[in-house]
Amino acid sequence: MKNNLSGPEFLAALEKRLRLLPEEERREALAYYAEFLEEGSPEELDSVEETARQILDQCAVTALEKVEKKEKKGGIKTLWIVLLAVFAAPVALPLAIALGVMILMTVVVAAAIVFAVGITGVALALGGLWTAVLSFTVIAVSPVNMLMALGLGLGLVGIGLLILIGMFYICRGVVWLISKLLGGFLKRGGKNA
Amino acid sequence: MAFQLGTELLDACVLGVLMRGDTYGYSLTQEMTRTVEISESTLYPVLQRLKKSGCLTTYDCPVSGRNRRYYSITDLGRERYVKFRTQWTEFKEAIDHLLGGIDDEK
Repeated sequence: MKNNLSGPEFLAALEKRLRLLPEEERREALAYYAEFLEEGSPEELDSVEETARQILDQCAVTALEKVEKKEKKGGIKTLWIVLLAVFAAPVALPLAIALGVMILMTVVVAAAIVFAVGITGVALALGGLWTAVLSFTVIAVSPVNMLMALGLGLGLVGIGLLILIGMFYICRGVVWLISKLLGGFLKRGGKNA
Repeated sequence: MAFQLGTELLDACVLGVLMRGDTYGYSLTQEMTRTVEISESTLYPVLQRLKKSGCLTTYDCPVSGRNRRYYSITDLGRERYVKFRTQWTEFKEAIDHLLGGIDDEK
């Protein structure tokens, strides 16, 4: 269909139909047709509807091509993240190892303390028992000393046993605490992955 | 005219005109419409497409107080023109063969 509007009418109508285009595209198209009308006559043009449709089609194709290019960039972005992870590994890996060693050391130290205190308890109990037994050898010489040694020995056995029982409960508590901490840590790690 | 030009051929024809020198919108239209039935609404998108794909550049030149936009072919455009030229020759020969006539006489 041919255009039946005057030059200025055509340009005004075209601008209205291209209002959804980006500023630059619209300005360029209008400049082109304005320049054409300087020399050509309005009758040479197609209808405003047809002219606008052709311009909009062309811009849609260009926009689509741009979107496709952007999608390709998305692939490159993923590559960057992978590269970053690879380069971060030399830092992250030693950090993870250090953390693991720290946890292990804490457990070892705790076990050593428990062991030492436990041994003390056992030594006190055994020493007390031995003292109590030996006290009977002086029963004829000095019954007072024998009684004192027996009391001291039994007292030591009592203290030793108390320490052992206390250690047993502390041990159980520590094991329970560590397992809970580790469990929570692993759970959170699992969720993040 | 009985034949319609597709986008590829339109691109090739515009590049062909520009191969002979820079030209501006109205003059290009006149040159094209002298040979092909093509409307202004078809030609503008062709120019935009060629510009966006880097086959031509534009520059503005004031002529008697008014601004005139000139179109100029780029190296990329020249490359594409050469490709079009060989493809067209092959295409023309193939069509000639299908149509028969001149070639069959030989």
